[in-house]
Amino acid sequence: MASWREFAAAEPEMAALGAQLISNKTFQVAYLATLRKDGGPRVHPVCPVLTSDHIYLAIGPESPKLADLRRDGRYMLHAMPGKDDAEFNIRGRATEANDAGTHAEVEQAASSVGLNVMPREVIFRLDIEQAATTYWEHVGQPNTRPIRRRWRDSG
Amino acid sequence: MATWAAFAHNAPELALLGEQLFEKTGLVLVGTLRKDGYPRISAVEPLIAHGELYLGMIWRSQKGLDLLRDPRCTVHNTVSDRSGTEGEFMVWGRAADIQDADERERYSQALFEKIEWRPDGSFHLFAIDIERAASIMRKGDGSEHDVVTWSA
Repeated sequence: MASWREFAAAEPEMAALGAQLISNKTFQVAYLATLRKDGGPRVHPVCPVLTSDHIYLAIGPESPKLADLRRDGRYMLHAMPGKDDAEFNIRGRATEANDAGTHAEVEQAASSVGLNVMPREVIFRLDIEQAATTYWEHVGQPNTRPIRRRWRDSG
Repeated sequence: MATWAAFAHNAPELALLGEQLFEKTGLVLVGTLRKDGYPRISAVEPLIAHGELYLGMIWRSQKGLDLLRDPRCTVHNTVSDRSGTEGEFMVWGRAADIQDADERERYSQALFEKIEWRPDGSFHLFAIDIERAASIMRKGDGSEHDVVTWSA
């Protein structure tokens, strides 16, 4: 599993698209898939927070995804498609990181992009096993086709 | 389990809201299960026609293969701002693989009427058998929200 910093060092272009699509001043919504207790998939919108080292989520104590991630940390985070339907996603494991220092760091990073992280929200760090980007060629035409790029952590 | 038509008959307001939210962006996010058990999210253009919620997918796409292996899925509207005041709508259910040539042709015709494009050659077509549907409408700063759920 890699941190966001390690991923970005290995694949700066992919990470730049990801940062642009999921965490900037005008738009911070991405979708998180988790596993329900019965093993089925759950999808919820979330507002990820990027620091210089990691990507985090702040999850409300009443959210069903909190119990999902505590039970099974496997996640996939998918950005809202960008210009010409460009896509970005990462997957890996989410680890609870709710110590006071991390909470304060995430609150501060969130406020710099206009987001509010509340004290009661629980912080999870998203470690990255695999990242993928998709660009579409000939958008809106009969021969639309995806150009995919994938990165996998070797560690 | 219910077709979209049965869901809409039983919960007309929720179904109308859902259709409006799906149509607003024309794109939904589908949660499926990968072979290794991880969850996957993919973007899909939905079509509500002839009483069904249809998801057409590129032939042999990963999300299509996921659904053939394990039909459990969730379909979520796409929101465009972080306040969430425009609303969320989602369904949970199972994806039925539609092989019937007549039904596939009706789907293709309905899609063509909507976006002037229809699939050419092989494609996967799934109709969602709905177990549960829900909407979340947030007010103002997002601190309060109304949740409406329906179960088949």
